[in-house]
Amino acid sequence: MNETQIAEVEQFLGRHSVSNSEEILSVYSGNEPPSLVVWPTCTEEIVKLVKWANKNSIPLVPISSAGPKLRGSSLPKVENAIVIDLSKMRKILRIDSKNKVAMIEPGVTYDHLISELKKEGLRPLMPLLPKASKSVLASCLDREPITTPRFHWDTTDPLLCTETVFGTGDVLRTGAAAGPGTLEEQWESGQAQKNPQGPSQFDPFRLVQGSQGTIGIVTWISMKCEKLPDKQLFLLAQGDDLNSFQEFNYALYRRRLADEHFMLNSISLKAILSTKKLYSPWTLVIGVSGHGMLADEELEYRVNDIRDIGLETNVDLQENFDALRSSEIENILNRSSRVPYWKLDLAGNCLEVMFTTTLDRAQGFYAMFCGVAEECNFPVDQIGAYIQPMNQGTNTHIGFDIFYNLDDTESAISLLAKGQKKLLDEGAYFSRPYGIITDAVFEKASPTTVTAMKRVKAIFDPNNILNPGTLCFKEVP
Amino acid sequence: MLEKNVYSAFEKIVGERNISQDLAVMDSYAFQWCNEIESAQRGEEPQRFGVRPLAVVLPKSTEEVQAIVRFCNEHDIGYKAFCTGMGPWAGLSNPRAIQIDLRRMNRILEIDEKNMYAVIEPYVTNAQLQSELFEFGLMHHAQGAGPQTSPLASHTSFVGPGFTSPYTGFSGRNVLGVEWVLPDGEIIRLGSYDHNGKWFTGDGPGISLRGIMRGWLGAYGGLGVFTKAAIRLFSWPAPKEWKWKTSGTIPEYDWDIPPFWKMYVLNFEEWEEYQNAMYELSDREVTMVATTSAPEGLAALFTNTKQEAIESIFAGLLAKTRNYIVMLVAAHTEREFEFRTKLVRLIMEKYGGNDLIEEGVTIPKPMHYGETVRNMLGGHAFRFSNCFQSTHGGMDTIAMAVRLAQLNQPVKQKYIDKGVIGDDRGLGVWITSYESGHMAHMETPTVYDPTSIESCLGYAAFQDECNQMDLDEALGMPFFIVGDDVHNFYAERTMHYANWIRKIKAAFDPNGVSDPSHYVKGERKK
Amino acid sequence: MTLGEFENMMDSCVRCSKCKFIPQLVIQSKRFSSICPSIDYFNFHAYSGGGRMIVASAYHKGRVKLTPEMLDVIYSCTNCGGCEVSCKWVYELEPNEAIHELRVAAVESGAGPMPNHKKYIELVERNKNPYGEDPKKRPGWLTDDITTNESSSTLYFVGCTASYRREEIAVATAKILNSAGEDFRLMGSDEMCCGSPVYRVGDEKKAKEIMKSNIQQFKEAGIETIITSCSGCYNMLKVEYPRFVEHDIEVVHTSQIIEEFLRDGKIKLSEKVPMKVTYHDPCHLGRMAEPYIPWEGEKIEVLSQVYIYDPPKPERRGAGGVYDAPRNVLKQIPGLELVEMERIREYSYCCGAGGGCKSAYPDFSLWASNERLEEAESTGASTLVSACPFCGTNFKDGIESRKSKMEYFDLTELVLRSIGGSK
Repeated sequence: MNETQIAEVEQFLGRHSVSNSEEILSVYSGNEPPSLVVWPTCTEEIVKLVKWANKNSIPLVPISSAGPKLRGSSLPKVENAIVIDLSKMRKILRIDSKNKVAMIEPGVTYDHLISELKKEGLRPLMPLLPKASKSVLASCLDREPITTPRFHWDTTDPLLCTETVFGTGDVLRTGAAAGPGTLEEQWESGQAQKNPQGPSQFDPFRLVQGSQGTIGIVTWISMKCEKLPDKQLFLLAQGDDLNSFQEFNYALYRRRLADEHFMLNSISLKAILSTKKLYSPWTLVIGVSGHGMLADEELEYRVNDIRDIGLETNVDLQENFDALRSSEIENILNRSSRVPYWKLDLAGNCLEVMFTTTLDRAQGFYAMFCGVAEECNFPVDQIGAYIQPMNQGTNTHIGFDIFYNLDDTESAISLLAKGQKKLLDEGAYFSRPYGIITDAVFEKASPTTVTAMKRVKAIFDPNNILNPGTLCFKEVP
Repeated sequence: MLEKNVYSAFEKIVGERNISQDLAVMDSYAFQWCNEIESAQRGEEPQRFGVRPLAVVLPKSTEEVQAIVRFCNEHDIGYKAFCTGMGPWAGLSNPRAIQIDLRRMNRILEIDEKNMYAVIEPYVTNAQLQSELFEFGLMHHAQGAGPQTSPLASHTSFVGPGFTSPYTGFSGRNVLGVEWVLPDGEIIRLGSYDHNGKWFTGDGPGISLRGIMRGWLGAYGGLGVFTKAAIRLFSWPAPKEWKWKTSGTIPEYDWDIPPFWKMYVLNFEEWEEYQNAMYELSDREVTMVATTSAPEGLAALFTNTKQEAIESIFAGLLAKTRNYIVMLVAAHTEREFEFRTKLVRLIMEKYGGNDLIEEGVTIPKPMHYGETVRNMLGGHAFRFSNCFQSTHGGMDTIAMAVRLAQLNQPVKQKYIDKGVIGDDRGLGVWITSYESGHMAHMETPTVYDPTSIESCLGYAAFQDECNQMDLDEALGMPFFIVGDDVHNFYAERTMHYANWIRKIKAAFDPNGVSDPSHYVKGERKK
Repeated sequence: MTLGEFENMMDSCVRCSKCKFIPQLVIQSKRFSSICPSIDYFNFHAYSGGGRMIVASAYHKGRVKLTPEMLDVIYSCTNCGGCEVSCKWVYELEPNEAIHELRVAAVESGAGPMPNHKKYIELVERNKNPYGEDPKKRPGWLTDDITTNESSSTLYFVGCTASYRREEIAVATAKILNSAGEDFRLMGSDEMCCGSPVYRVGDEKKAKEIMKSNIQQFKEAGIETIITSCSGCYNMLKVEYPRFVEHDIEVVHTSQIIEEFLRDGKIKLSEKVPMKVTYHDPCHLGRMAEPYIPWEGEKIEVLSQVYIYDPPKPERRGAGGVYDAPRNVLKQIPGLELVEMERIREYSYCCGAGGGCKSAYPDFSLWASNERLEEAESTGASTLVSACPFCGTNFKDGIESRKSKMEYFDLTELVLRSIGGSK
């Protein structure tokens, strides 16, 4: 980028919102370093920047989260990009407790949101221990799975409406937020931007979500929240393999009795709790709550019905085991991770694997991945596993974390490549592909899928300025 | 008429028995409910015959559909596919076009009992699917259009409210993978299928092409043909031994209500109490059904004939009914049932409500429970005059639904006073909540006489005024803002959304052959 | 009523497709959810009850002419009334009536009925039966051990099919009547076809002549009661005749009279008939058997756009058909186990033979019978029972075509067996 261009950017963003210092650029480097990092403070600035970038064929890479970058999706893959750091836009714009919804800007992090929502008797639907600097908005846009499948009605939850600046520089409020009417007029008529669908006969929010910044830059979202429990209890179970919980899990999905519902292997638990304890190979976590009138009775009936399912399916549910207590689990939920990030604590580094499947295949995939680890000489006791039911149980997120120290870098990278490939070949669905597996995922997808995605890209970002090189969008501006 | 070689080509694809161009057969496709509104608006005698297709084909497989669509692209022939085809959106706007009747594609391909989804072909009906799911202890979301219509059509292409929406949600949010013959004849399978032969999710990799397929509204047949859909399933709250059984003689059937079920009609004097109750009941997830209509509507819900409905109206039902919620507590266990029924009572009392069933104001019979879960209740509105249609439709919060109902009342009353639409004192609404109160929508079922020009014009004028009101008062988007003209009228004040949809249409239907009567015309490729 | 009088009704079709299925509330499975054999076989919407109503409307409005394919649409319908039962769940429409009127219009125009129909109408006129059999041989089924009383005021109206094709039904009926001590006479070779095959295909002019002539004949013979073993004849005499010819003759079906005999102890079912059976409700004994009471009165607007009728219009939804009598009889046969199909009573699935279809669309008729037989087989029953010789013939043809292990019997045959009379 030349001096003139930098000056132009400074013109509409303000000099203090623009940097090309070596130090800053290196923080935001991906495959390539950016040529500029900017911190816009409002939508209008972003619109100006996007329009300018179209004219000048400059790639833009939006980012909202700070801290350790494990996926690299919001770092430049091509040269000469401008990184748009949205973290300065960090207002919680609105909380509507009656309608259980919050409207937030990209820079809002979980702990901030959690404490503000608490004042209104609400809690966010959130992933397990996101990093402290994780943008809530980015998490929603990434389709990060939440710990409470009961409230996960559609893949897109908890994301609802958005304000998006497309790659063309056009702004669209998606969902019911599109109108008719301004947001104020909508609030006047009782709306709360809860219907994420539309406007009308397309769902632009589904095109932005999962796009890894290639379709639009989102300047605010509304997101689903839930009421804070008045009463809460956690039930745990231990198992040697995931199949021992399978029948229980499937039965529980049907009943929608629990809030939190997921499984962790012993290594993940160890990493999260930062202990050297010996945990059972697998731990099942169930959170149950009651709120409002008859909160006690609600909790009681839910717990008792869950216990009945446990009895019918031979799963021993306890609030506490010797090695693990409910209170420890409660402490790791509904909050963000300790800094910098729990995933880095076990061995110093972490590579992430994540894919979607159905619960009945989880044990098989885990065994498969561990098998590849052995082939790669990577210690199996450094592989964390997180099994998160989604869509009220219809599908399941599986996350494998390769915790490695620098000495094991080579085998870790080898495991990442070979392991993911094996999983892909055996039918794991990388619905949110990051890093080296991406190309293989799109090769496996049918050419018509890729063509269709490119058509979408050509509509919303015809000059390919948004995060080029990401997903199947290989063209550069 | 289609050129001979064109007709022969289609005949070769589907077989001689499965194609027709006889005018009488064509007219059975040109005829659609609500066409009379449009013809009355044009100053003609109201009548239901719209554009006649040049032929109708009945394909049996995705391959045949693809061949048909490809041929249409090559020979500039419009097409519109449908399942049972109820409503003007099933019809054509292009005079040089065919209809693709998907009746022969009617298999239930897979029921994944554990992971709770079903994979279906287009012509599986709601009642058919529902009846096959019971043995697995499952149910699906069936749209209010009724049990004889297609869930695939609703999930992929139309809207999606239903009577069990508090529990089973909204069609557009329940769809997983689909197999889709794009307007240009390419086949795309959304989501997981290409990676493992399973349909458990329709999103990704990366972006979700469900965003192109439909929005809050579907493309109403204007963006290709859907040949398979995987849809989410939900637990059916009845013991394994329970069977769907009826006995008796029409219309007084008996039906086996499962244990731990109880119906309520909670009545509240004012909208405010109703609204608060609706919020709390929905949030507490106590009910499979939370639906509201007019007092006149209540008369039609739990009776079996027009005569009975009218008798109950004149017997004083209206005086005892204000703003009510029809609820169905359907629990899996006794414990759950006891908790839910206790809570329902407390919430009712909290907001000063009364239960019209308990008070004998309305007495649903066991068969009405069956009708409720078979999504048949909407059809009862037809009993009054063989015809109704809805204005409005906006979906966001329960509060907006209530406000819409309040603002709508005087407007509707105006047209009632003119004697052109059915008299429900302006209170005729259908409000239902979704996904445990996450959202709600409101539409205004309006009785009109399809054989009377005054009534058709009157309904049309009422609909126009409702659309304007939604625009002016920021009350969401109505269902029938579809088709280029109406989109133009609306999109101006809704962030010009139609421009994007037109780009999508142009990109995916470059030859402009997927009939866009209730979608958009794209910019044609040069 | 004419097509013109039906115009508003036809225009009110919502095209909802309910007419293709049994009433939605009673659906228990996907396989056995449809009610219309015609659309099941032909698939185009025009072949459904509502579709035909639309076609009738199009014809009446002059939008279409009677092409050969349109005639196929009109005549490949058994006129079974299933569409109307389902439609009336929420609508005030009569698709089956409109279909009949469309046929009348087709015949009046000269285009209809189908060539095979025209042939058998001639045979009816000439030979008093559509089979072209010798009228003198009509009473040929009589055996020596059957007694009749020529001066009885009760007539056993045998009908063409029982006389010439399903003689076992005539024999069984007569023997049961004898066993009960019920006096009856026959018309013998003077018996004329009831007119059903002529009426159903829309030749109303000729059908009326037959009806008038038959009633004249019955009156002259002093007939007060007619017993019939054929559902088609039952429907004609009880329901269709009174639309055109006044008569006060009581019309009774064998299932009804046998039920009465059992109640009054006039016959004893002493022999075991160890069978697992399922019963097929003939359309003309069931949903079509409610009289069509002509209504005259006022249409009153009680609410805007909402009308009621004063006096109330009879609903005619099929509730008043004869469903219980045959079942009550079967249940009293010792050793017999009755299991029900899914589609029964007013939502029974038509055998496929009626409305002129057996004659003009034999493949379709046979197919429909196979459909119904598959349902019968799915109950685990070894035997299909019904109470109509025309259904009987089509089912027997179906059983043969699919090499089914099922047997078919008429109700009267099983009753005869049980009273020990088949020896």
